[in-house]
Amino acid sequence: MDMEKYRQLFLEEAREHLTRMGQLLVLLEQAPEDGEALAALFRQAHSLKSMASAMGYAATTRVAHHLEETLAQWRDSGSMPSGAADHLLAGVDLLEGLLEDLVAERPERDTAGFLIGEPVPRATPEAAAPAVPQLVYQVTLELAAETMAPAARALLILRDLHTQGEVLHAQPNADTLRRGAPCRRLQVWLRTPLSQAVLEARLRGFSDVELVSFLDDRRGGREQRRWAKTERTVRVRIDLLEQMVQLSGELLTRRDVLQRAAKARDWGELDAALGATGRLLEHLHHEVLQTRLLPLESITGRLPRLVRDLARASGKQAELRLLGGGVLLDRELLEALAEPLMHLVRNAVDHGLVAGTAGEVTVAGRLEEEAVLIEVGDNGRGLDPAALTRKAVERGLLSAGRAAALTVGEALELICLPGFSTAPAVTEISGHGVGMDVVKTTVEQLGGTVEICSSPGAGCRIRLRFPLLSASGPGRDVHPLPAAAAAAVAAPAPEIGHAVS
Amino acid sequence: MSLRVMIVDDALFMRNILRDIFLRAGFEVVAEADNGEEVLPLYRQVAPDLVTLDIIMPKRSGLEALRELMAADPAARVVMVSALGQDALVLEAVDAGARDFIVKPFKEEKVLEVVRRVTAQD
Repeated sequence: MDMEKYRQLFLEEAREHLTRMGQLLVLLEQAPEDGEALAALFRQAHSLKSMASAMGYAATTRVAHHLEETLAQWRDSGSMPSGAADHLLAGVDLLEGLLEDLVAERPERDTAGFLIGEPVPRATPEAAAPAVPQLVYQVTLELAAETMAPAARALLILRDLHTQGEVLHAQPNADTLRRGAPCRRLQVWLRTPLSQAVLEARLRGFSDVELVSFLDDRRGGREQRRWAKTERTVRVRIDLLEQMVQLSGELLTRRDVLQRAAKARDWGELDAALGATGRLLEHLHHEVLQTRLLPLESITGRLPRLVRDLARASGKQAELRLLGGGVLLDRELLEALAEPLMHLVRNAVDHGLVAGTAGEVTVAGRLEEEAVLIEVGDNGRGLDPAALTRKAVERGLLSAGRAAALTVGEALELICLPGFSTAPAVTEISGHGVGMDVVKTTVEQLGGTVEICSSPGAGCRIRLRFPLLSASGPGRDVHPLPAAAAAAVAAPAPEIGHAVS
Repeated sequence: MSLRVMIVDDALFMRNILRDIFLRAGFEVVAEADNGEEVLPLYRQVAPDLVTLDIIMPKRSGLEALRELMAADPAARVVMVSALGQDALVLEAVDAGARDFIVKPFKEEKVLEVVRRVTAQD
């Protein structure tokens, strides 16, 4: 049986197991004798091992097996030995690395060191995700007419491109080429950190390449999204899927009624049928939008581990409280928010919390009448508007006259100024400055706003607010949706719009 | 350090042509073989930077030798040498891991261009 088709599913589930394991380990550090957590942890490792073994991923299986055996001992003894979480967390890190290897389609990394108990090098949380800007290019290559073995040539080029980035789509693709399809033209969608000039030079270096042309996908983004999406899978609840199938069936019936009424010039019937069709469409639209929603907790899974590591690195006491994880938000919005959220939590621990006190960071999702709120709060030292204003003036970001006229709220917003965040003196005094401009930009791009509430000594709350658009079907619950998401769905690609009209 | 090349071709004539091209370019020709059977033992012995491999040879074909070589050293840099009309074989070779190919009759610049790119790749 070809297991490769299950790879995507394996990756998704394996990531879920690893996130869960990280959470449980952090929990066990606080309560090493939590029998339920020990048993749950063992089950996670066991499932992961079985999955990896079925897929034939040897290194992943070995590491997961090692974790499983260790956990079986703990479970049987009824407690996690003190200080032992580190080794297991290192194992979780290693497994995450192995998943990355699978995604990148490279050989699984060496695991021997971990298995004999050597420490696994781990990136610090600060340096965790250096985002390399990746561009998607649509490249078209033409081979000279006298090219020998053009399919082999195209295959070589395609293989080379695989080493330079992620080939999202190729026309013809490798399989077609392997069958020896005559090919003078190769079209590739490539996601890569390379610049266009470097990429072009590389391609022109190949024998027989006569023409290289680019269509930069940055602006439109539609092709980019389309190919990116074909690579991803979405899990949809069966009942939702059935509901959509049923609704589209009803729409088809409705179309027949419309056609008959139009033929008969029966305006009354036509009007009624149009009304019914409209309601069905709204209903269907609503159901389709549902498939885009995920709970907030789908991106907060890594936060417990982050807070633990940060607390340990800074010698502070920090407890994370997650509230309202069930609040539903748009899938893409959540994906885009994962990084800013980590940023806010990192800031709260690093700059907000005070050493020697019982620090607490809260991440809460909440639904309001017209907005979804995501709030990151801490009980740390808080922000001092006067100090912030003074620093902004010193940094030349603000005139003294303007500074005097600032309200407290405006003074707090100063931390979102790009030039402000880089000033080390400011972060020492007030914290919350690191990368706030990036957080704010991201949130605003997603159609949201950032609110900051704080006063000296009273902690800090940063609230991300996303407006909602109510989408409701006849006789259905009202389900709020982020406006940005609804807008994206309401303005479909032309071909989809055509099919609907 | 100059590039160390190994030439495999059953025709002495072709080996000489390739050897002259490589020597003129300042490369070192560290081994030559005229059949597929010798490829792997010789490769292990001299560990060249690059192998040119004729696709059709007596005893063991170039394709078989290539597969053997790639199994022993997946990082081996092999350039196939083929004749006109052997597209299917070339394709098979590329799929089996050959880094590039040249087609007889070839021009000196073409050979050097391919060799230089293959050795610059990693």
